[in-house]
Amino acid sequence: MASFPPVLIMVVAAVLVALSPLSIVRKAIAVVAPLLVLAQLIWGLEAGDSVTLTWLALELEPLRADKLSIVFGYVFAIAAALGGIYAWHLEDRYQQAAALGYAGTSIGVVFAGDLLTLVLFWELMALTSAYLVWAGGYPGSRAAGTRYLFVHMVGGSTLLAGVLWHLGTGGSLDFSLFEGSVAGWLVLGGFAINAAIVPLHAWLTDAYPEAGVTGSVFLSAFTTKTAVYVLARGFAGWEILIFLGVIMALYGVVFAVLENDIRRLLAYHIISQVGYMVAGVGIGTEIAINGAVSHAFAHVIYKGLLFMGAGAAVYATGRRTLTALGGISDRMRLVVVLYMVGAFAISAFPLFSGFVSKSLVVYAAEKEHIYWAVALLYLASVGTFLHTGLKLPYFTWFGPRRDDIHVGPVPRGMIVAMVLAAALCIGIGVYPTALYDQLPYLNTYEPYYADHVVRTLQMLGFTAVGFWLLRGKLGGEATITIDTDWVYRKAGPLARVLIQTPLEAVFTFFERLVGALTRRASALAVAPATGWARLLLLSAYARERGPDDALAFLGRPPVGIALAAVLLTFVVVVLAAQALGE
Amino acid sequence: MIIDRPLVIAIVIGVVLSAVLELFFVDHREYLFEGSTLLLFWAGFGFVGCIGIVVISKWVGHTFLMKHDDPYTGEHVEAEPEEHRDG
Repeated sequence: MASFPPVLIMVVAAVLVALSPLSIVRKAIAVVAPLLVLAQLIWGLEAGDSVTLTWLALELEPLRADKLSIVFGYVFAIAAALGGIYAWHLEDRYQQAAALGYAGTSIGVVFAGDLLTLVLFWELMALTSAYLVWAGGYPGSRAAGTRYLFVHMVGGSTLLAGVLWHLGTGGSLDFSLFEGSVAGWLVLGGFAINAAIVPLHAWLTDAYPEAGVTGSVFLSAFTTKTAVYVLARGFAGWEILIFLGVIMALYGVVFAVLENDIRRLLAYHIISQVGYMVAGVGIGTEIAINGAVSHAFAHVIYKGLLFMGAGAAVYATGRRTLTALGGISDRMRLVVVLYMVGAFAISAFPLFSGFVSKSLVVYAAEKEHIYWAVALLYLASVGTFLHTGLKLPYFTWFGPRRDDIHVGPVPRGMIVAMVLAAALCIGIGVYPTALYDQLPYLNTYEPYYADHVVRTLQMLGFTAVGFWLLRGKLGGEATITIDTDWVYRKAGPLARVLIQTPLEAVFTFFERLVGALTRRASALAVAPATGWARLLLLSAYARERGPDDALAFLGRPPVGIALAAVLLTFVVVVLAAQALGE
Repeated sequence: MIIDRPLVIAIVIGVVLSAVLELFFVDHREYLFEGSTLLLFWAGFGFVGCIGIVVISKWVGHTFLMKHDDPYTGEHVEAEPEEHRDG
């Protein structure tokens, strides 16, 4: 079978979903299309496959398959299928189409062999995902979606500028490792925004909780992980990424302590977890890249599961903050259990997926003797379990029963998707070889040895003890936490004074000028007699024959006047053209 | 801080279990950084780390970052905002 870019399946599916009049067909497509992509990746595509095409004398490569791209393709297809199942109850064809388009263009990014194809899918990814935020339906969704799009357009433009600079300075279109040139730094800047590298991260925590409960499940999967993919391919071994990654891992943890919105809390932990991957890319060894990739794979699934669980609580209660929730665990038992599987996975408990993936990154740091990073990444693990595994579930579901909260039913699709995601989290944790065999480099690491298991259990167990001791201080607080988006959200008035007002003044001036000229011209056309009378009185005709004769000229039939006007205009135009020509 | 009976029991069982696991089941302890091979180091790391994260984050938050009025709209932030159901 001839290879073709898997993104095509998803784009066709997105169009069909947008056009299909039957709800059941739309839902089925949203699940089947990603499974078709998965089937194509397993049976129809091999490492080394490539599709090239020439466009405007440029050699583009919309498909380049290797082990790195294929493993990301797998997990994106799985995430899209799980998202489709989770959103089975959704009756919104445009959200369904946008979600498919978003997942599809993310897959487009990971199989893009050249930089222009990459930029194209990168921008489409931003557009389709922004729609998911806009469609959230919360009072803040539209503004948050617009800010999200704005930041991503800035990121996309930075990336494009970097790519053009790269080409302009003799670089090739082929997407491979960048050097520390201006172009390299610009491209890194574009990628860093999508990777939510601190301080360019605030779009993520601003926008994700404003999407609908299904939208945020999709959002949690793709954007940051495509960024990890492009960093792994283009910036492996850039040492600065180790520092930035460790900062991200801790930054997310600190802000999660302060957060009251449950999905925003989870969003801060995306930043924290992506920090491990970015650090892995920065270390750049084969083990570290394997670690970054395997952690991205595990993360897509457990983070999806966590967003599904939190989303189920939001869906069933209509509430989204820790202060507004609590005391409903007996009415959502299954959701709590499934959420906890995701929480154990992200906290890297033995037998769950995070244990086998996160430890690869930390092990890579240890092998390179970067001990400060090892210590701080372990500390971030403590924070992860504290928030995602203890604080969020405790204050969302547990505590004294609250009968004032109405808990509606959770759709069956949500539960099925969560069960499947939970099964994958446990499956990978129990049998890590299945994941390790897909990694870009041969894996020799074995996560299950006594010291590692005991150390992890001790650390997480005593994190729980610390939580129990401090649980009185850890409840949600009804506050808004300022983050770096404050800079551009508060810059609105300043931008108005510096940019919008002067621009508007210029536009208004020209608008008035054009208006005045148009009024004069229309006066000449509509009432030529009056208009031309003034001109005639000043003309050579009036000087020769006297002003009376000139005015008498106007007494002639209007056709003559009009012809004279046309002729006069014609002469003026010809003369002007000649003058300009010379 | 809430010190209750379950907490005390958890600490006692945790410490004993940790020590037993470490002494009898771990034959080789990996050196990660200074002190990481001490007995019960990781139990202490989890406990102190957890408390440190909470105390430092809350201090930073209360001092600089957390606002009771929405800094962008000026509205007071409600503990239990109106319910909002979506798809």
